[in-house]
Amino acid sequence: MVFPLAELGDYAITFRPEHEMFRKVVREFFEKEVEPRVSEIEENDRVPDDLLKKMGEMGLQGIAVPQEYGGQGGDQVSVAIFCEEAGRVYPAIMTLVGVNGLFTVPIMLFGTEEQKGRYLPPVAKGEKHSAHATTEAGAGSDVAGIQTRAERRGDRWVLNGRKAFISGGDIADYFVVLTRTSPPPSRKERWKGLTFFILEKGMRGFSVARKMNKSGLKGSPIVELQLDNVEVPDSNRLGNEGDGFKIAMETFDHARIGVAAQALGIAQSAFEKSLNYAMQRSTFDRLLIQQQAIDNYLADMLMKLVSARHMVYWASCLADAGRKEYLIAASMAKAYATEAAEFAAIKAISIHGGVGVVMDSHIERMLRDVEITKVYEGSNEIQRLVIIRQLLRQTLGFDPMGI
Amino acid sequence: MVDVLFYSEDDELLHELTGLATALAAQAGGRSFAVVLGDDKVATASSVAWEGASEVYLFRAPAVARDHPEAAAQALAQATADHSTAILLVGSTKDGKVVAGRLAAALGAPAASDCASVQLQGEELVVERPSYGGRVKTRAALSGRYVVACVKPRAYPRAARSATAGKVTEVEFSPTLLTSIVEVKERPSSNLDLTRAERIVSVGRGLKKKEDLLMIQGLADIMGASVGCSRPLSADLGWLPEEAHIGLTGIEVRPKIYLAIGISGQLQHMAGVKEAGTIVAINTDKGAPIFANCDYGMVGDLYQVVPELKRQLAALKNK
Amino acid sequence: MLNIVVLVKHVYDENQLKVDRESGKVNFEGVPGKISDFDRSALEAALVLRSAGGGKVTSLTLGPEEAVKSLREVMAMGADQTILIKDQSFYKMDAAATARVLHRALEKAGPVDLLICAEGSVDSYTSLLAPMLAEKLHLPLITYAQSLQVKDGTVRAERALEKRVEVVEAKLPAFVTVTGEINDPRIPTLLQIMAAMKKPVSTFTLADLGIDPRDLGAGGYRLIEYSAKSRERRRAMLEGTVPEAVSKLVDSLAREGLVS
Repeated sequence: MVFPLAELGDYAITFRPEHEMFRKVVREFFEKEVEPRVSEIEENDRVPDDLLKKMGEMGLQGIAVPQEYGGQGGDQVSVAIFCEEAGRVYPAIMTLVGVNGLFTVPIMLFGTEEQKGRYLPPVAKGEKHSAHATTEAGAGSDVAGIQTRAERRGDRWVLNGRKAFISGGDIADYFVVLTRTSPPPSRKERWKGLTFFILEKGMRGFSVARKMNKSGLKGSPIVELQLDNVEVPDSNRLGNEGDGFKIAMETFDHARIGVAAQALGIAQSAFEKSLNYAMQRSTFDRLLIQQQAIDNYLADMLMKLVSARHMVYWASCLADAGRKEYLIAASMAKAYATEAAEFAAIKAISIHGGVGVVMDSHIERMLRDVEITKVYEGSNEIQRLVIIRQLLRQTLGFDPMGI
Repeated sequence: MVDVLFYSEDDELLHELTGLATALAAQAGGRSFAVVLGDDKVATASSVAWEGASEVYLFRAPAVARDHPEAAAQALAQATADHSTAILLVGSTKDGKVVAGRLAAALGAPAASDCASVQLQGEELVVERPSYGGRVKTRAALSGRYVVACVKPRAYPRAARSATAGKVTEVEFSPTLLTSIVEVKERPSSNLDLTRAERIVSVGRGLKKKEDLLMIQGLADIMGASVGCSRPLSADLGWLPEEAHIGLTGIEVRPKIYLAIGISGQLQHMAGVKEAGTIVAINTDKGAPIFANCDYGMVGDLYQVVPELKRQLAALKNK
Repeated sequence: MLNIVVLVKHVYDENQLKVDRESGKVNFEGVPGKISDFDRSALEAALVLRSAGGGKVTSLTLGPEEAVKSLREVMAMGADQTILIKDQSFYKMDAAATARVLHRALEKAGPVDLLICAEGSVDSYTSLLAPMLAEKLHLPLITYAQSLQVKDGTVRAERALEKRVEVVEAKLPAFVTVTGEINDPRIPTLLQIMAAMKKPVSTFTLADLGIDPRDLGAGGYRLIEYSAKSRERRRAMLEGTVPEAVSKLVDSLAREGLVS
């Protein structure tokens, strides 16, 4: 064994020519079309409609959705590539576009044929936008603690509650919303009794309550959603009653690599900009790059960056191979890459000196953008739990903590 | 004994070629022959004859053929037929390169375009021209019975008036034209010739709104400069005309001072600026490539720097 | 139904050349290649014409083995067929030699309605290939097209010249070179990229065309050298507050007599 995996080959990363071409194409798009408008997006806290539309037309909202449902039929590596390239130029766009994955994945995994046929194609093709509403003001990491309720009334359900921190909730046409449909049978089984529903914008009683003003990821707004006696037919229930927790966990498992890749992109950008700056700026009659302290920072940034890169794509390859080990790998990648990115962002500010905190330099923005990546999609504290619990479960066959 | 034939549809460029052609011909032990095309170019033919050309072939052709590169190529081929060996010089304009290409293929001759210098070395014509976005200089040698070189505008000075005039010979000519010019729209701002501007204020994507050009024009006015731009502002946004676009696919300028405002300094833009005397760059991005290619650089917001620069320059004028 | 051939050039990326600062020598080894930037506009123009009136779009490239990689992008954009004539010394060839090779290739390809390429390639940017090839093929040539239409067997284009814009027409078959301003080339989707991987690039050697590579160097063009001695710029950064930095700038420029 090459613990915790079976053999050396389990750590392999393989790319195919189309991955490199896709990366090139996405990078060119971001450098040519997005980069020049970064200041504008940051200032207005808004991604222009034409950019969103272009990305939709490029199929970026449905990279991993199968072709038969209007998607690109791409793999996890391709998703990671998009997330990294977006993160390298403007991370908020990765969130804005990538959040559709939190909608398409659960429907792909647990939806009926009818639901798949109805909701996947428009989102995959960029014609409609979607969002995922699990989190509430009182329940983030503790998904089982949500309070939004759904009561059955004949062949309909009535939903009440309030969701918070919902990315893309302001522009979404479709939502998957997690509710509690029955009380937990015991304190130990809090995770039972949750159910997902598919909601559409405009349903009576369902509204965007307010936009939350946040630091970082400008252009990717987060909103609160209000549900006041929203009536939803049973045909909009996603998956079985009571399966909500499982569906949520599997969804987040799938999306984890995307966030890791986003952070990787941030780290990449921080390194590139810092290296560039160090080669051009002089202090005390020498270039910054000739100062040892700067070299130390740059070397540290590079080491963490390349390690993160390997983890992100290793996890992606495991996911594409259908290996269950990808769960550990994805959690490791997410925790590591986001922290590596934070390190890189802080060092970038140090290296840039005063320029680093000037708004126009977009250096300080990296730190603002990276902070949330450590928190959302399963906070890094949770990731550490997952890593060890999964490790024990998979390799040793037991779970000492219960859930 | 090698003769030199030369042509350009642009009169200024034609006068620059005259001096070069005459010098080369003298060096090669031959004579220089200008090719001028068009019934309305009699005055041009005469002035070239007075600037040192041994002979001017004035091809009679109606106006429709005058600006036609196919006609020019055929005229040059026809003229060349009377010379057993010749160097052919064509002004390196857009149409000039079409002329040169067609002519070279018709004569089975090697060709080079956008030559910054042309020298006779033994049996070869050695040329220097820019490549790879202007970053690399290519030196090549052309040899053979006929060789074709397109010479860049302003690479050589205009010829001085000569004591004696060469002969002007009218030539009958009926070209076969495969393309027809259906309409000609003169560019309204054709008095904008940045290629000859001594001072240029150039602006790029850092400029947020078209209206802000007024501020830039104000600075240019104080400096006695012309306004140019990088490709996005003319081609993509249409805020400035094509003639203002400086770069690889735009124009090449050689001012004494070039002020690059809000321009990142990509290779394809710098290709048009590398001959500038002094380059000043103003950009908010410390890592912009232009700072590696400028004489003076300032990291700052143009919306603060430009008004301040105007203030201080105006104060300087008033002293 | 138009049979369109687009000339695509594989070039060394001018932004990634390796230059020895001291000697000015240029090293092409290990420099990545790419499709010359404006060639995509040429391809896009062809694809648009195909959408409008039907037909076939074939891309033709003279280049090294590595060009296959960048040509996949051409496939991904939607070319029906991609042809590569393999030659490793592509970057040393002059336009006349390239024209001779492409002339032979096009003769073998059969009747073509429209030949399209970019106004120039970003490496040498000679803009000579098209007129040379047009002369050899006896085709009408319209260069620097910023707009392009084909109707009833006639091509009509606007030429962007230095001092004027010409509207020019020619009967098909014809040859058109386009500027980068003519369109915004489409961005292939992942789906198109994956599909392109499965399509073959048809490759030929010079021998297949009956060309002896030694003949190519016999046209009278001899490359002496590439040199990249860049003019050293001062790179003086002006520090301080805006008024301070501007003051320093104005002083320096006044001293040099550049402002009065």
